[in-house]
Amino acid sequence: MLLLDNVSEYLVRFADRLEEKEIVSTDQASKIRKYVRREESPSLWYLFLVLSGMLGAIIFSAGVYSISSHNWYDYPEWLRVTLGFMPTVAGLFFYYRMLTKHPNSTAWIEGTSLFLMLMIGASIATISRIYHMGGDYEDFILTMLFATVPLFYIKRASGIAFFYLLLALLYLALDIRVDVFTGTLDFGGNSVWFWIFIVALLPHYYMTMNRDGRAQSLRFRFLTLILYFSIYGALMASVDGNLLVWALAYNVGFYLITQRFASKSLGSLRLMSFLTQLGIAVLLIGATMRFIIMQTLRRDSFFNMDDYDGGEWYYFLLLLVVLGGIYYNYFKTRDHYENSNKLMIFAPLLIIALMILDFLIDLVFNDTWWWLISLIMNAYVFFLAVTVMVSGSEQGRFLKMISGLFVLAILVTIRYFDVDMGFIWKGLLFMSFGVVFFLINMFVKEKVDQVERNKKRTIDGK
Amino acid sequence: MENKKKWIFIGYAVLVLLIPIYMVGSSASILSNGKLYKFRMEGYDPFDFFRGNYLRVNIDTRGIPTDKDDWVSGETVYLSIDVDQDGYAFFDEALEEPPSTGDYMVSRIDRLNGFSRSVTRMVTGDMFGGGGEYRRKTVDVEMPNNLGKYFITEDYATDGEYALRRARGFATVHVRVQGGSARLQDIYLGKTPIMEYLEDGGDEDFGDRGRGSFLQF
Repeated sequence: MLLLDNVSEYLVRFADRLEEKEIVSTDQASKIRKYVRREESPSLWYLFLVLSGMLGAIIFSAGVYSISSHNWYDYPEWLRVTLGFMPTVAGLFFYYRMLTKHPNSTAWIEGTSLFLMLMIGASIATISRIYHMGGDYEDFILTMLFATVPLFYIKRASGIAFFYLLLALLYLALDIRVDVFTGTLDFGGNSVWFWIFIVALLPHYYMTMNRDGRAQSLRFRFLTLILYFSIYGALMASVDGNLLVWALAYNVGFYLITQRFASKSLGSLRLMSFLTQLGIAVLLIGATMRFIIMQTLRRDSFFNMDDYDGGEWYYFLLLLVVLGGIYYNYFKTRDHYENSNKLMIFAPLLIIALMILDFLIDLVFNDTWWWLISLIMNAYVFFLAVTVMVSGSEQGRFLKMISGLFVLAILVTIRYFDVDMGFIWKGLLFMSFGVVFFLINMFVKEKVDQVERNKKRTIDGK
Repeated sequence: MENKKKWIFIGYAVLVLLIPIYMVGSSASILSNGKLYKFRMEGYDPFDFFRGNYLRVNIDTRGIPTDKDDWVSGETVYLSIDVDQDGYAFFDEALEEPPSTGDYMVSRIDRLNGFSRSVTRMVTGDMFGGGGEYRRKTVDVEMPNNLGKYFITEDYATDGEYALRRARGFATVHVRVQGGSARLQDIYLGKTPIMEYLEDGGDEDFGDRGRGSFLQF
């Protein structure tokens, strides 16, 4: 803060000197001074305070865990038990102090919430060690997760969500069961609790959302990012069947959230928007390959659910409900998605349509026209890439343009190595692709020239 | 702080403090009122990330007879306890429900790393083994709750492991059981509690006792 004050003070005095020397007018100097003062916003410093507070809580807690791990077996039991309560009491004390003395300080809220969360764990660890309650990590984590949930609501601490989700994922992973015979993963009973803990966090997430505008807080962006990754991993390992549609639906859902609530001017959620679009593109490129079409898109399709146990039906119905929710929300508030890519939004429906098509081909011709599916997918991804480039060009967004170009390049590269064609036809096909890239190049060059011309006009005042 | 927030905090604080209070209360009750069982054991010294060093307690949890033939890995199992002619406890039977009489412990069917939950590590014995004798199916289970770890100060952790190796076949774990809950009371090397043994320098020679039967885990 001190450094910031010094810099802005210097700049304000510098503006005074510029005015004195008549390098700028009084009006211009006043504007500079106002600008400097406006830039003094200490939000980043607040963020620093929060992060350093949380880091302090973590490191201090690590010390408490270490001291408690010494065992102290030669002290009387009553003393060890009393000391075992101390971490929780200390955590509650600082939390109470935050509630009474610093209720509006984000750094205090986040720091004391995390400290209390970790201290509850320290008490559990100490007491369980005194009585040799080995238990296992699962019980330990489950208790800590339960004790953490209220902290999201008493003072709406969000920073602990990261540790909360990390613990929830660890809890899920501890019950992982791998079947080497079928190559499948199963999370056993822990997955139910995982989803309950996710649901327990969602009202907090909803409360952080600015539903009236598009400028979202750092807190909302942070929660969106960690929820995206946590749920994505758990979802893919939990659901049975239709994995591709699930993955696409999930990314489309988050893509719509970022489009609906992201502020264009401030670049809020831009990373999330980019990640979800990247996820959709990668999944669609994967679905152009024969292996994916034959092994996943077909065998995994809801038409083959009778091959597996009854749980697949449940997940398929859930998928329909999720898709219904996504598209209901989309059509209800479609004004917000004018600039969104429709080819991305409707990608899950394309995959379902292709599953139906594949089923019908199999029914009528008793054959698999995987090449037809692949052709449709290739065309879809090709047009998707082109539309991304065009809209990137129209909106003047370089990253978007280059992303479209990359998708196209990856698609063409994969096809070069896996397409089953004669060399002459393959050569001609790829030469035509090359021409498309040259055309894109010419189009962009024209745009660059236009920008250069505009710049010259401005400088010359013509 | 507004009144509502204050009461919410008080409620939360009570809830949070109830966790260790419950742990202490239940443990104290089991340790003073629970029935004492001695299990033969082996052990070694690993490390718990949150709680420091401990001696891993291994008692025999394999080949427990059962009448149920569709156990699923990870499923909860109730183990009835019996005592052999030498006074050592063992798991008598794996049950789906807690037994109506006698003490029991709670565990889970061995999950068999690398196998699906549909594969239950069920060892099917000969239905009619030697001399036409009927042999029941058996099942392997995980170490029952709160029985697998004896927490020890880091100064004695390594020595404790060596002592357990030396006392192989003579180490017993004393466990208190009450209403299906168990607490590990102490580890004995011969007739000496392990901490006493370690503090005295561990000079007891188990070989002189001439006991021939060693546990195999």
